[in-house]
Amino acid sequence: MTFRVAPLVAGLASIALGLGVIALFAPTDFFFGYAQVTAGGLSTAIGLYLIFIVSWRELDDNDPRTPRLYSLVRREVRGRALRTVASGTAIAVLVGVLLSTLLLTNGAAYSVSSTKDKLGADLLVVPVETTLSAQPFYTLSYAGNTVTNSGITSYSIPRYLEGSITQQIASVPGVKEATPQLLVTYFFPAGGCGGLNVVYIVGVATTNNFLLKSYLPTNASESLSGNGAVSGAEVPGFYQLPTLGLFYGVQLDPRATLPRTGTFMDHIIFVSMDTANAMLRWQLAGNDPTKAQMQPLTFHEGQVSAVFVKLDDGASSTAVAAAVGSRAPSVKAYTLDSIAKATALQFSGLLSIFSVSGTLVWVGSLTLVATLASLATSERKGEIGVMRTLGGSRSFIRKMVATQTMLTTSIAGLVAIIAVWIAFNSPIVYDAIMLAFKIPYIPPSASLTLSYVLVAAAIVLVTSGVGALLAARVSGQMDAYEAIRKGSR
Amino acid sequence: MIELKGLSKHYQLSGDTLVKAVDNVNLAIKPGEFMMIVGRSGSGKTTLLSLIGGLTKPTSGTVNIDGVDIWGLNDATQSRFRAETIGFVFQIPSLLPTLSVLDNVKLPTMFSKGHDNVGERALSLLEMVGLPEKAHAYPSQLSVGQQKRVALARSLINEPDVVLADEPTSDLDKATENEIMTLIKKVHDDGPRTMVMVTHNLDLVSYATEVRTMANGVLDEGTRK
Repeated sequence: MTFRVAPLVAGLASIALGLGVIALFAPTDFFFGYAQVTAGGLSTAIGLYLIFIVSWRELDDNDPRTPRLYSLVRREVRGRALRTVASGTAIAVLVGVLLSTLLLTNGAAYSVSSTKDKLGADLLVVPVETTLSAQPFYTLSYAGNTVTNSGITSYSIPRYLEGSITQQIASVPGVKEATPQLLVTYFFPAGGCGGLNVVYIVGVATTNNFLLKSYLPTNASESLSGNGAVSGAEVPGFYQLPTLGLFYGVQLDPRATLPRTGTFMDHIIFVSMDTANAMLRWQLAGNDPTKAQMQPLTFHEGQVSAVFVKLDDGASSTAVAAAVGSRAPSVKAYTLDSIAKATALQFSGLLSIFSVSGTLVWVGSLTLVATLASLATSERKGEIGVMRTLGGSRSFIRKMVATQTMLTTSIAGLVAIIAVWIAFNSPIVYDAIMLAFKIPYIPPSASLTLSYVLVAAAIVLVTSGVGALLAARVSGQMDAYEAIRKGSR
Repeated sequence: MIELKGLSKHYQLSGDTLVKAVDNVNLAIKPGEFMMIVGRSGSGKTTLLSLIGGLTKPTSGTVNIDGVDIWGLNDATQSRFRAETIGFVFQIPSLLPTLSVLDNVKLPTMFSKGHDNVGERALSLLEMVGLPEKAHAYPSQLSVGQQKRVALARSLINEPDVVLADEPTSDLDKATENEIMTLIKKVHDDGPRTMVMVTHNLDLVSYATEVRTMANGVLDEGTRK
């Protein structure tokens, strides 16, 4: 295969630009993020089109060689752009839906299991009025309930608990360790007011903090000492924030960034309880946080928002949760299992929706591909008849039609796979998934992703193969001379 | 030598209607002959040409070309035989729209042996039909008469012994008709090739060495020129 240099270079540049637009700039706004992915994806698709379709060199008219089957197919694909695009789109939609479903469902499952494994907590203790749903697991850090007012979504700060609750819980039989967390405040770094474009500041205990320990390269007390801060994966760099890391009179010192969890942990700046209290004291000294576009703090020193609990080996999480509830009536303990179960329940509902819609899309695409291939063959019956009279055998015609269908579907499938892969590896898409489906999400591992890509590719091959066979059958059954005469009408 | 023996093509339409498009045709065409078969539309002459070319399967009878019973061959062998032995010129221009003129002329070489100097041969054929400057053009950029000339060039690229022409001058003005017929005559004379042409135009019989008439699927017993 030979390529023309100009469209090849333009195609490569377009792909590089597309990937760059998506990967190189951290989104500062939810809608900007969508535009970023859309523009990047479009640029990548244009690049692929330029490389695979436009840059293919025309068979040189002075080429002394005989035309080959492949060059006939290539010219047909390019020469009838509308039909090619229509068939390609059907396949791309099919691949996109299949692969997205696989990545979405498995990514969510992967996020749930990996977070649960890493968290090390068995119980989550929150104010008694907190409603359990899948959301606490994906928010995980008791972000409070969302409030929608005049179409604007914001978060209400939940009721704070007295600090003594941690000791109270720690003394319950079966509890090995208890570590408190304090939701200091939240803010919107880009000045927005909704979506996942939110950052929480959360105070945590620096000693015995089993929650952060599994995520941090060093221990929590080292990372958070002296106004140190540990950021979730999606928190913008402090240099990008309007406050440049100065919150309530305290200049935070970024020490580490947590790996992505697919939960709201990704949107948290963790600080020590000492730092949280220093912020409170700055406000109590008469400073007005609203002047710095920050919300007034509403907690009192020593209060906490939630307590994460680790159980003794062999202790029953359900029994201990019940014991915590009876020991401290102002709180309710949720087992991580029950939270995961709630997530799974929500998740299974989504899964069945995806399964049904995925099957419908597949059947629809299969029908569309087969119909388009057959229509294209019928439309070309005059040409096919000519080739038969010139000496093309039935098997040559079948091969030509099948090659054309396979080529179109392969390119479209490849474009769709790359587009979905790029999209599902984009933080903006993670956020969109979490927000839209209320499930945690991180992309599955590379090997799993590859296996899903292979599954999608196999389904596409089957689909395009069926389409090609149908088209080839139609073409093979034509009476050549009749086809020429009919083709001319 | 082309020999047709008891060649028939019947179509069963709905009910008991049987259409005898070609009925029991016996014909021998000598090598180098220019046979013209004339008849009105619907007389069965195009079907006869299609049977000779191995494109339509006969209901009964045989077609022998140079001693080969073409309907005794499997599809692949028959297709190869057709590519190497028979050139077709159709009533309609029948060029592939996505290929340039030159590539259209080269196209039949895909299906035959001997691919030497295909480009050169194609260009010289385009010169022969007077269209060398159109080699890089596409069919949509040519007039109908020009397309027919290209189709004639294409029919000769594999240097066939037999050329079958189906109403090659239909829909053309008188001047273009004469141009095409002069070319066809030249193709016949230069070979010399066996030429079988069907037409409804009695004005063209002067180009042929032998003329037969056809009506209702039946070929006359020998109206020789």
